Amino acid sequence: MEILKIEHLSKIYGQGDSAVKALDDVSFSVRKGEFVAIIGPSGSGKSTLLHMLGGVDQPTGGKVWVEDTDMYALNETQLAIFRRRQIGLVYQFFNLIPVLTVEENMTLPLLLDQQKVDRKHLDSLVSTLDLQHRLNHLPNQLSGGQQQRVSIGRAVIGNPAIMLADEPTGNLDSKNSSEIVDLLKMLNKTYHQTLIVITHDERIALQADRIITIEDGRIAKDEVIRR
Amino acid sequence: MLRNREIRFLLLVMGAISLTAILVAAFISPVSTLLVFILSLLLTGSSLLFTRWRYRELDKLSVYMGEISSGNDTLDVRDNQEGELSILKNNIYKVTLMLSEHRSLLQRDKVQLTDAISDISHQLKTPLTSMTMMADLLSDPNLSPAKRSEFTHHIRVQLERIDWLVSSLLKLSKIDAKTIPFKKDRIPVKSLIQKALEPVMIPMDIKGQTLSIVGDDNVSFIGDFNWTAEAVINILKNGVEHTPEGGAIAITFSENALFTEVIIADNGKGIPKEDLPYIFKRFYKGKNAAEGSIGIGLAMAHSIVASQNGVIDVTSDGETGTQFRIKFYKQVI
Repeated sequence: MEILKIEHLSKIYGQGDSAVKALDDVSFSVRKGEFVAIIGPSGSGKSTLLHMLGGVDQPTGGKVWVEDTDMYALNETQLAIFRRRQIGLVYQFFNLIPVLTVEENMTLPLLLDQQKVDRKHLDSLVSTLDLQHRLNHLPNQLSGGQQQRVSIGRAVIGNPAIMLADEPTGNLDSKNSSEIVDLLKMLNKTYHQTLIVITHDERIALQADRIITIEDGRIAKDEVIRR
Repeated sequence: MLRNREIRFLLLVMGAISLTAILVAAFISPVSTLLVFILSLLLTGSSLLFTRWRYRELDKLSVYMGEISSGNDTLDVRDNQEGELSILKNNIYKVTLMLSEHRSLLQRDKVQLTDAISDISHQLKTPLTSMTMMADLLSDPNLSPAKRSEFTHHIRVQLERIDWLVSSLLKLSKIDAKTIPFKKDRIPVKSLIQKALEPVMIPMDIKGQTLSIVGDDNVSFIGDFNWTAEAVINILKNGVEHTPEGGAIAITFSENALFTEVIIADNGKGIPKEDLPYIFKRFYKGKNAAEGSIGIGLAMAHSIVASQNGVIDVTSDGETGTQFRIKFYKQVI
């Protein structure tokens, strides 16, 4: 099914003379379970696109449909709850809550929803991420690679419709980078998690099923490399 | 709503409390009695009204589930609010999506089966047509002995081809139907590779190709030795075939917390970009396919690896050659 559909999305920052067209009439769709990489030069609009998809910024025009829900037709509260339940976000700089333990950080979306945490699901996710011995530690006691694994855990624990990652390896060395990419690839295969990754690194992009190239706010290329 | 036992009980409790309160108030004054009576009525009334709303929401969910089970799964029941009811709706929707996904997977399997059957009949038709023609030509009583042996040889070649085709297809079908019991032993990758190299050593020698193997002795994975060896052999054969004389085949293997990886690389002319997404498909023949190849070797390797909790990946370009990456995951996929 089409889990994500973008129609004529555009985003303009500023007004009049100083207006900047970050995104210009972007349209594409993603099927459930696809692993898409979005690449492009700096300033091409990749991060803006991700923010539109993640529901953290309002587009100037166009629509974003996630699981057949028009995201920007929802009000602020509904959008926040929709985001909490259907979208997992992984950032370049981890963005973990420093005063919460690893386990609390990972189960945060569920805790906010006041849902009971399924112990078995959590245990299997934790062992996949190789964090069994770190559950009670604070983020500042972990290495960069481990912190990113916690944020990945946080992003997928609620089985969101789509997982978005903005340069997930941008802050890691090459060994940790390739481990994180392998982890993302495995999550994509194990949980059939739809994955959209923004990256500079072509090696990471080559692990995806599909590569979308953005230039000057428009889609320059949309290539399927794996079926 | 009143047919629910818990509602009747609630009504009983509220009635008992109200009655007690009214009786107590009666001892105080007629005004307070009236006050308490009105208060109890209002509280009980609003409580029942709210409960009726909640039961109506639950009823709506029942109707929704009825629609789902009769096949209409395009409805969205979520409302993005806080609270248990909204979470329930969210979880039900997730299950709905899962069901709809299963349905489309089944449909896709059916289509794949139909395609596979027509592919197979096409593949068999070619050698059969050729053999029929040979048989016709052989029936000529004035045939020269040289021609006769040429035609019979041709028939023999076609028969071998059909034989190999049928047994490969049977194997592939059994693997896809998951009726093959793959053993789950701990396999040292080094001995696996050595076994897989045996049938390709001679062709490699003939083409003057070099071989390098890099990896620790203790790298291993859980799987079936013989089947995995067959998968590796198919990949090696592919590499040897498409690498020119004097080329190099490099095998590296390693293990980490997530998976065990084997990389088979060659420095041949590479696989064209347009072919890359399809090379593991049955009967797919790329532009550079060898004469007489049917396009099953890689498809078989793919199925064997996929049945053992693994994935197989290929990267290729004209300059660095082709790299096949096999990963056996430690967690179940």
